[in-house]
Amino acid sequence: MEDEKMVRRIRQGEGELLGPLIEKYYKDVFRFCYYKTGNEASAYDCTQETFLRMIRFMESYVEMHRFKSYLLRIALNVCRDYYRENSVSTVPLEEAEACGAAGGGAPGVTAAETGNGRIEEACVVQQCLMRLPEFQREVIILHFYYGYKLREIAAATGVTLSTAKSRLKQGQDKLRRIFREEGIDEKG
Amino acid sequence: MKKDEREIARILERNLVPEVERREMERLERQARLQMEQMDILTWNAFPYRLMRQIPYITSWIWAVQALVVIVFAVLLRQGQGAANLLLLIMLSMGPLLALLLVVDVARSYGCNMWEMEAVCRYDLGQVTAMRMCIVGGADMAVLAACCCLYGRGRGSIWEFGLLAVFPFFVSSSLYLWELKRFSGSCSIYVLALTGAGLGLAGCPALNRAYNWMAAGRLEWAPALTLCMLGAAGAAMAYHAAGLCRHGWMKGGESGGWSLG
Repeated sequence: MEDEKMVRRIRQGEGELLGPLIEKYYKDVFRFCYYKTGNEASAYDCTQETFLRMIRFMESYVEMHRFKSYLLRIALNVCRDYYRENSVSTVPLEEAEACGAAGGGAPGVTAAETGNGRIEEACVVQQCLMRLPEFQREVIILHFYYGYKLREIAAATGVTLSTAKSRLKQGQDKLRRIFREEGIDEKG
Repeated sequence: MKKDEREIARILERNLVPEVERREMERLERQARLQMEQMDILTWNAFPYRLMRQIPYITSWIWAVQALVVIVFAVLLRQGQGAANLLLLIMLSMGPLLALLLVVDVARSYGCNMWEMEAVCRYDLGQVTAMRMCIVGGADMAVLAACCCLYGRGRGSIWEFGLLAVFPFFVSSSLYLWELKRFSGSCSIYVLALTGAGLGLAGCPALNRAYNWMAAGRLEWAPALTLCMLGAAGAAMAYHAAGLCRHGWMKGGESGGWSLG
């Protein structure tokens, strides 16, 4: 069923359609929250809050055909609130060292599937991402993981096009510097 | 994507996301259903509720003009025969244009970039206009019904009032609603204004003739005919209003029907 049809029916009281809607977008929202918070438990909390907030404000939803963008925009605000409440903006890189051993980075990814090396690498990349200031990190996530264009990023983050552009540029420069510091080979 | 961007993207791809736990998803589904039940979703989706929330956005001068017209109308009704009746007829025939004040008001706020600030950005021009017409039209109907009773108790029959005042109101309203539904986004203020002007021009002589016939006592069959006409025009207006609310008359955005509960 198309998103707009599903949302319309939910708005008319068909609560049983919430299940399929949540299942359809849960992974996307969770992925976003994970990239943004860098923590699995926080990502689950933020994902849950995103969907509950979506239901609370479903009445005001008008952007049909772009339901995923709408959800990600809510997720973005939820994650911002999360940071505000927890007063955390960036995470020191030292945590990355304990990441693989403690399983705090990507514990759901099994070693059999990926190998421990890849898990550790994933943790380091995530922690590099976490070293970016929040406003640059969200631009980087939306651009690189979700393929958003600058115009879409500007709309989602509520800034002007030029601000989005400069944030992306600065974020890329900073990320490249962090990668170099951590000895991550950009050439792959 | 540029070359340096591709390199960053390649590194970021190595960042693996944990597999989503099924029980977390199910827990959320349960919570979401619970929240929805508590929200009483059908209430805020109901059409009357949506109309109620539009009331504060109707500019006060609309109500002021409507009140002024009602007062003048009541005064003319009290005066009875002679020149006053001509004024009354002219005013009644210009009645269809009164509804267009709402369109002007909506267009004005749109033109002043007040659209989003007015919290009506969820609807398009047609929707907002139609909803406001429903509100003001409903208020007009109540006043007309009151006037109808007063007129019936005073100097004439209720059916006379129905023919002269209520029937034009029904006809013009159903025409406007039909246009809003039929032409949706392309139904501009000019189309509605043209319709209003046409109704006014055609209505004045028609009402004048009907009034003269009534005055001459040549309309024995008029009460029954008026009743039928009122019934038909009222049904047409209700049909168009319901159609406008239920079906996909909305431009762009939301295309769903509203709960009329």
